[in-house]
Amino acid sequence: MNSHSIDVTDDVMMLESLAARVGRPLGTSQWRIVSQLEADIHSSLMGDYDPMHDDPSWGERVGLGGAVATGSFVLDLLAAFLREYGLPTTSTERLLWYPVRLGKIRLPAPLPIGHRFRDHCDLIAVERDPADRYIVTTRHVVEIEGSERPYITVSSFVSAYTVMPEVT
Amino acid sequence: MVGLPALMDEFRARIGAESVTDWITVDKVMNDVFCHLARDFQPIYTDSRWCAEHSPFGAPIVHPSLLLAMEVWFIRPLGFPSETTEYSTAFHYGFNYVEWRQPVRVGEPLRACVTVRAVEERQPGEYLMTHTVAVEVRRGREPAVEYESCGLFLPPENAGRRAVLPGGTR
Repeated sequence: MNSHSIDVTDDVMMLESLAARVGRPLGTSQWRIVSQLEADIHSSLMGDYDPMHDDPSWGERVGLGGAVATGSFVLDLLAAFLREYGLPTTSTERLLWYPVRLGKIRLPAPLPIGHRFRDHCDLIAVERDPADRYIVTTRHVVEIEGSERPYITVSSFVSAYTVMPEVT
Repeated sequence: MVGLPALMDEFRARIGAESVTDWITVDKVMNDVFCHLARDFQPIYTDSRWCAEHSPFGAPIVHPSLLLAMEVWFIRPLGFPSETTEYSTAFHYGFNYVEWRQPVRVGEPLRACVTVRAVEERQPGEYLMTHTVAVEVRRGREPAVEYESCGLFLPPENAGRRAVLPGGTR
């Protein structure tokens, strides 16, 4: 027996065990913040210099109270959120994870820089497709602390696991 | 005449017409920094040696979320309004869908095809613009990633209405 076959069995058992959690909350993330430094790095990377994200005084003037995070910033964290709930979203030589599709996403409220937010996630479905992939569907609502309006709602996030062919 | 209604009229006239970016690449530095921001630094995106040995793609791939985050990078050179100006504030309203169809390798040429789909005046002076972005690579016949995105454009004096907490966001 080689180490790969043992590990693949563990991975498959983990994926199979997810079925029992379908229709239930998968988890709530830790509180996090987007710092001004992170927002600035994001802006530099994307060439998206905008007082809305980079200049707190502009935000004060228009009544937003300060700078707000780019809309996509928290979407970037979906893989990290899933990892927090026990889904392995780091690909290994045995198990490949990748995002497939996002359904409707809305951003009802801007996220203030430095303000706490967290993700609430439900597990909607776990299926085996004809290619023998495990297809996992989750739904997300990202809460801003103290706000009734969420920062972001993700109606469905579909990602897939391919168990790599056994290497001997 | 410059102003939000005039700008939106201009985009209404572009509905259905495709604008295409130059060929560009995502380099290793950009991808690695993004992986850190996304709390998702992992070998399949960042480690050439690991990828040569273990990845089905043979080389590091661009972080899938980066291709969404790059939306502004794609649309701004095409003249799309995405930034704050004296007469407009632009909020990302959401995506209607996102589909990742094939990975893009780090350093591989890619370009985006952007098409305005709709411009609606939701309330007097407030506009919702919907457009699609299809990210192409040379080897693929279909886009590597495709998404439909919506931007909400408000006069700056209305921006504070989006604030979530009393007295603004602080």
